[in-house]
Amino acid sequence: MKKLLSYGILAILVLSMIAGCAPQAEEPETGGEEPEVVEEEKPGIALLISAAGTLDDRAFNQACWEGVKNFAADYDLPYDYYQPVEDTVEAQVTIADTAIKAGAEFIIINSDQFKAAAYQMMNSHPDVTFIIFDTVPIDEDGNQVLTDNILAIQFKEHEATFIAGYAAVVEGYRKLGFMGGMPVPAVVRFGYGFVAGADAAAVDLGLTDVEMMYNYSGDFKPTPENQARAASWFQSGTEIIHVAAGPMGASVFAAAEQNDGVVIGVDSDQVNESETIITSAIKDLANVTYNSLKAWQDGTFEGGKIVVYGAAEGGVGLPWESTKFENFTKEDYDTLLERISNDVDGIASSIPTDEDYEDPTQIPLQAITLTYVQ
Amino acid sequence: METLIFFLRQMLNFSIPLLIVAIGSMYSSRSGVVNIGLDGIMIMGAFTSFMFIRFTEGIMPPQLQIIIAIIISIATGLIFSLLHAFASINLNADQIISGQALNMFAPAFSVFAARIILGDSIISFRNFFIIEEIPFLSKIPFIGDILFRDVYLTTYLGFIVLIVANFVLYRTRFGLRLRACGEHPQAPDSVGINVRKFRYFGVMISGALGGLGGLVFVLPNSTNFNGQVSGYGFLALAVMIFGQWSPMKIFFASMFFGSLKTMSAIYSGLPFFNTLGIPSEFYKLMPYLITMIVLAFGPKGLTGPRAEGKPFQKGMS
Repeated sequence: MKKLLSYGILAILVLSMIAGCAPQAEEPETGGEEPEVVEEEKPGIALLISAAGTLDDRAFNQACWEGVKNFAADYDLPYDYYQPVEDTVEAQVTIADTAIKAGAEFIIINSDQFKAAAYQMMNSHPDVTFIIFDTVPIDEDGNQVLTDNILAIQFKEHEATFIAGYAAVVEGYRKLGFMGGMPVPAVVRFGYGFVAGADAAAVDLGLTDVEMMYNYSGDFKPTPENQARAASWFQSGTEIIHVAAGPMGASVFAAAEQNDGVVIGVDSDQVNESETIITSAIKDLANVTYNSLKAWQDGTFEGGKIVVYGAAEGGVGLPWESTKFENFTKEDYDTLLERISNDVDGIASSIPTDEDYEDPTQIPLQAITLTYVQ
Repeated sequence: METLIFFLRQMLNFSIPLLIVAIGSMYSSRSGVVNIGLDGIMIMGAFTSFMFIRFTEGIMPPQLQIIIAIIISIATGLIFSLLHAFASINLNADQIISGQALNMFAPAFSVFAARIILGDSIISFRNFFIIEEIPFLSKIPFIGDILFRDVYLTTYLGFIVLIVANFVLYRTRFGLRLRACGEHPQAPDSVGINVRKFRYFGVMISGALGGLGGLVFVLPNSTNFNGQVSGYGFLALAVMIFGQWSPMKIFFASMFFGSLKTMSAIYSGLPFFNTLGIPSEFYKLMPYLITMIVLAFGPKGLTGPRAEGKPFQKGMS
């Protein structure tokens, strides 16, 4: 009797799991058992995110998803997101195969964790179009390779944070902090730009008392550890922290709320997340995603290359409408943005990136003191 | 001095949830059922209570809101733990597997349900729950600054749970019977005590405290709940073992773990420790290293209740 009961429960569990795993049907379910009802199906869009990430991370995955959703709504196309069970090449390739089997013809890879898997995906599915953010696919030997069906998109995150760092010093903050998640290229660029911006402002204003704390937490999670670290920085005098770590930001916001601190957000405009957010260093993933999808639908998509969006292309910056600076004015912002866009006096090209230095202590600084917490 | 106060205040953020959940798992272990599903139970408790907070934001006063949220988290944990109780007590299932099932179910359910209800897997909340100052008590030097200024109501729950647990376990008939069921279930059974009932109580109390622990864990540490508690349910199990299944020792174990964890997180903000140049890995390693040393060389009493993890079937011995 008990056995019967447990088998029954097991059967229900298995059935409900299968039902739950089935891809959300975007079109009416006609002939559910037949997997090959592809003849009149519209080309699907799939977003791949890393196992470590979350879709609603208030940061880059969410921004990308917005772009996908908006486009899919405008063009009435099916879309979905996929997340591998773990960040291994096998799991990533499997999830891409799953997405393609479900009808995806355009795949957005939004994580630099995928660079080895992307190489396999683009070669085994030549008829599928890919874009990959923040990285370039690599082959077995670690060489960067691009085929015609994939476009690698990068952002000059360091330009956004250069402005943020510059603005923070002009605004009057003297003790700054940077908290990154894992030191992946995009996070490193956010960090270096922030350091360089603060340094440039200190030079321009003739300040010598600007200090910067710098740390990579090693994860992207909102944990008590990350909250406590941020709280201890605020407690020991840090006035403003730029956090570039997706969901971990929530811990820094909480610390700021409890210690009267101020935070600069990341990736998308995070102003609604907390009262303490003064501005955000954004990269316009939503629009870039939308425009890539549009190019694909219009037949003008060109793969096989790397495109970089910076301030000049309108790809990065601060969301001015929600920014709460008082001393750093709109004119200051526009002037700085203009100078970076046109690279006046080499201001933009002199911002260090992840390729220039291995750790932030190697950045030559003229005016500020940097403490790198390892 | 100010640094010390800050350190102790931060430490409570780590220690109080660990204390609550570890005491919860103690009840379950003492009754003879291993509950490794606490991580999942914490997630479920946090999920329902933050869902409630999200929907009543601005409608009711924050402190009332938090009190109801506490009740909801307790109720959720209790109900969710019944699954584990049913599997391990009625069906005599492997307790590790059924506990792990809860751990696997909860984060997925939380994300899934939140997306259906809110269209967003993360439950954001506005934090209005800090009590700035408790009159009179905040004037006490040192202790007032730590416990009665800028605190959450939930902090005190940890201490209440501790005192109640210590009393119930050692000073009541219920506690004696509960312990007997975990040590040698045939004995209470032979005098007509319903072992299954007591094991149910043990698991339900652990579920209730686990759910509460989820709320207490997330509240001071984030501005949203995203379906995970960073493995603190498992850490609480380590705290319980470290605390040798006894409330007061669990209290010290949780404070000890909390202080080491705090140290590893905040040393960069303390000028003295920052200039020492010890890599952060060292501080992060400390809690686990010390746990292993204590478990390896510690007192002989480090064995749990004897019948823990063993299903009890009437008439079998």
